[in-house]
Amino acid sequence: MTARRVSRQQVRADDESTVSDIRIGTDGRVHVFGTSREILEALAAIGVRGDAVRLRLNGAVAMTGDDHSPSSAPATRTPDNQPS
Amino acid sequence: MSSVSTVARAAQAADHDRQCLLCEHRCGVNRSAGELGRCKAGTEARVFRHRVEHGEEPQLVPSHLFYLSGCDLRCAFCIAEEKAFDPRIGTLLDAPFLQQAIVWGRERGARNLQWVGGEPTIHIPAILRALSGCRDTPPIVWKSDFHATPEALELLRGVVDIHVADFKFGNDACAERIAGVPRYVEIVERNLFLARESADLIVRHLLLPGHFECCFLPVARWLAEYLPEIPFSIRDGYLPRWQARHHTDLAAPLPADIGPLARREAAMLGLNVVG
Ligand code: SF4
Repeated sequence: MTARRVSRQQVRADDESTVSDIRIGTDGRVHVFGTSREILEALAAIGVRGDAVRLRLNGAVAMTGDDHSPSSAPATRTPDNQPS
Repeated sequence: MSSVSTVARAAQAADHDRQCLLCEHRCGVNRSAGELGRCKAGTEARVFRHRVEHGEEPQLVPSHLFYLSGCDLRCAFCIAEEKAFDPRIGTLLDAPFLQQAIVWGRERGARNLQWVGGEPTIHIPAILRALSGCRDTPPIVWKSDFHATPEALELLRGVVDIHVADFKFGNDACAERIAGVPRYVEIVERNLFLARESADLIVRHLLLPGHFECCFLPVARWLAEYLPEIPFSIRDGYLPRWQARHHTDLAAPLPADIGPLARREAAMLGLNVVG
């Protein structure tokens, strides 16, 4: 491999830490990138069905002791073609 | 919980700053002298996003994800797009930043700290340096493309508690065409065996449109033969991003029926499907 030298210029990125990306396909599937607990609760509250929501809210419940019983049945997908 | 001295591991890892053999590109460049290999990373790691997320496998959530910029692969469908590939993007990862972030994550219920990318492997020295300066670190999850060298994985032994391996392609031709990487399958399979020796392991596979026969099935069948007990996470949320539009097979979302089909097939193979 041929090594190159470049400047160590730092590029600033917008801080996306507080932003979730939600896309809804024309087939009704909901894709969420950056799923916070609040996003899961909102999806459950508006009746988005799916094990993806229920299982993950249950995981959150186990950690926080809160009591949530979201609906279940498939509709939500966590978008996955993120890098490793 | 992590069981070795990250200080000692950071010192070992620094060898790769001078002659980088962290991933199977094996560039051998002196990153501390400014030479750049395929990933274009220097010796610093940068975090372009960190937050507590609930979209991971149920046994991991809530998980505090640290997204590091820079990657050794070039997957055409990468959802992080340029942030994954430009290691100059983001906030410098150092011990004070990480310590503060760990406290922040714990306050929000995170049960672990998860390194993601880009690809964390290319930043092992910087990650270990930062971890070695932190107290009370939570369990460490390592989400990786598994294109690491055995030497790199050895640096993680006893540091990482759970490996999450992205087994993306079921054959070398798809890996070469879509991610620009040769010998993909043998490298990932070797690393799965290595990782399993030192930590818990979850294997993830993102279903790609048009790649059920050539990628999903070979991955699932290999796991059924060699690692059937390992949690297998089938992800069906593919959306066309980044350069995917240039690949006719990747330019559309995954059809809705493929996820259930893949789960049925995996169950029939006796796999431990999670997520
Ligand atoms: S991490 Fe991989 S791609 Fe980057 S310089 Fe090292 S060997 Fe090359």
